Amino acid sequence: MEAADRSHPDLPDAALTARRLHPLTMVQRFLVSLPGLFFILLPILRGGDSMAWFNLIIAAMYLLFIVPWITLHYLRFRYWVTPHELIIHSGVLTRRSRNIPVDRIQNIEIEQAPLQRMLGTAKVLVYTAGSARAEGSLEYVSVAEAHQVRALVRRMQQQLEQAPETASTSPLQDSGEPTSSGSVASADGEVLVRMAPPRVLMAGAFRFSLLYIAVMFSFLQYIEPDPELLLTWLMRGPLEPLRAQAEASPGLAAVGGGLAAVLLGWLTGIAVTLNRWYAFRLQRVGDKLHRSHGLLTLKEGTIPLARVQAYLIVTNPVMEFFGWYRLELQTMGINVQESGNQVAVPFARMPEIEAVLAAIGIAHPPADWQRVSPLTMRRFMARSIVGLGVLVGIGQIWFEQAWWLLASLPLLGLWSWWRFRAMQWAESDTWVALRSGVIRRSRWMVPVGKIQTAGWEATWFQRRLSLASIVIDTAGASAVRASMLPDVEQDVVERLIGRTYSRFREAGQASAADTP
Amino acid sequence: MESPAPAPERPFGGVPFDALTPLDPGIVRVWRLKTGLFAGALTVGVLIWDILNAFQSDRMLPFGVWTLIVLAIFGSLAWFLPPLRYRYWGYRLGDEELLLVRGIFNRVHTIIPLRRIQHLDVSQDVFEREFDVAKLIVHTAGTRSSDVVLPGLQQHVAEDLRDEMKQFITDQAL
Repeated sequence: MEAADRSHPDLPDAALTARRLHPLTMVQRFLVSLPGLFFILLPILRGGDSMAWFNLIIAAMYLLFIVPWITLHYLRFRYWVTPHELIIHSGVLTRRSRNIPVDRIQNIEIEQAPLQRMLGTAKVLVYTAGSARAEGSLEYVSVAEAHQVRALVRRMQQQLEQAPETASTSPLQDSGEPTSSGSVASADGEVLVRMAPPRVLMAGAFRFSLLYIAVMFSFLQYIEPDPELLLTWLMRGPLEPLRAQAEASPGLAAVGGGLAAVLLGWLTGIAVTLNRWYAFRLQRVGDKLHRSHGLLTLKEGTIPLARVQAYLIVTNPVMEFFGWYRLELQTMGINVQESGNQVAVPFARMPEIEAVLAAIGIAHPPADWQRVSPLTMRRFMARSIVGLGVLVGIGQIWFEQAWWLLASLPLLGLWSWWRFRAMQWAESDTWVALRSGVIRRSRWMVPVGKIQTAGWEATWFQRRLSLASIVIDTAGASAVRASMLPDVEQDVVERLIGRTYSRFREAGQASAADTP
Repeated sequence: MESPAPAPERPFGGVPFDALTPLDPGIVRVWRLKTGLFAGALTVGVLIWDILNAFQSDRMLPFGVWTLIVLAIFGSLAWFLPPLRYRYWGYRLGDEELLLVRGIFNRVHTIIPLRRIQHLDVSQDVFEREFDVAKLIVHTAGTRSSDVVLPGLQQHVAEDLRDEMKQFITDQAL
């Protein structure tokens, strides 16, 4: 078909033909459905009672249903990458036709779980700006096809960008032929971050995960062990000496149990981190960041730099004590699992993070941090005392004795001081930044040109103390952790917002002058 | 003497409400009607409860007292709150931004740069149509300010504002 290309010099032939998923998709879907079958057959496998044969019939019906369903799903699923849209047709009973405009696609993520890695296939997830979830997914295509789809979409995007207006000034390095090599790390660019296994293990050591509890519970739920059997196993089984010990000294047992739980959480944290960030690599390819990572499930995706709305440097007290930080990029609707933020550097020293920021063209993030008004401690304590008073009052009525709750007052005082010390703001000619959090300490830095709206709020109580809250709204900000900083002096806030907004105007005029 | 005036240090700070454009007074009646209807519904609910419990022997208060209390509290709120709300609502359309100031208890100042507007709606509900007011809804890509409502405008004012602001909308992808 090479000759056909000549008539459409810019349009690859591949754009016009319908594409199908990899045939092994059917095998994978069937394998994934097997656990369901296992649970249907569980009564028989357990020895079964008189009604067990009924499950056998259900299992047969299940198989009779699932095999044609998987086949039909495969046959119905087709997709196209056209110059303007990604079109996906799917559905067995309800047919769905989804058209995703190419210029709305933010990110295409390629994911390989262990099963897919064995079979040489991959999942392609398409994210757009508007939605929080993946707008389209191709489950599953070959690895080469996954990369080709991504390269095709990029090419179409570049053609669209070049047509109506002058493209961004940075050279488009990945405008070459679609790389269809099978290797996962396809794009070649400047490597910004590479995490060696010791560093990943170190990152895991700072993490604590309670995932094991969830796993344990779901396991118990599926197996449904006989409680009596479990008890006798505990009483007379190999754990007997341990149990006798625990009975002899309950205090020691409680401490030991607590330590074991903490240890298990710590080890799970390491395992989870290792699985997620193993072989982490961040590259800069033209005006995009390219990220790949994962031990069992391999993930790779791109972050267009122009679409980053804000930068976050996150840490917690323990990590900060040892000098470790994490860099996140606030983007819009790219990946949800990270609450709207993409982790660009999972675990690094501050100079390393600053080097990455410099490499992606961000020099001198704001460093001149200013505290909020100390009156915030007073306000926090007033709120706490009222809340505590209500709590003690209710406790007094219901449980007779609740005065001991007042013992938490010194702790609240300490907390209000920590909270005050954490709350800071900073500005520069191109930035405005807010910082807060006692446990999750985040520095949220916004380029002035990315501000959506700005302003301030003041409740009646704040106005009495001439305080106000800075409010800076950006796209893709977390709705839970609102981007505001309370209790700054009213006139300071008003001047800060005034300066920030005039910088925003200048930034807009500068960019308007660039584009004729 | 002829040098240009320096830019004010607090261009949006300390703007008195007199310097802002007020809403159309018709919105007070709309708000009164809406909160009044809410108060009425609540009163009817309490009245039904009162009737159902009218012959209980251990009543704390005689029949109708609870109903009257609820009616008095929410009725006066419905009567006195809307004028206050109106008093503390103002906007100003600058050459590059829309400034909104509002709030009785929690005073909120919002600067919406016009080139951040994604799209604009002019809408009118049943009550607003009755009193000939409309509201302008400004959509931006921000999280908190994905839809900012400017209520209580005369229909033609809302449409004029929309048309004036419309020319700033850029088709800028995020």
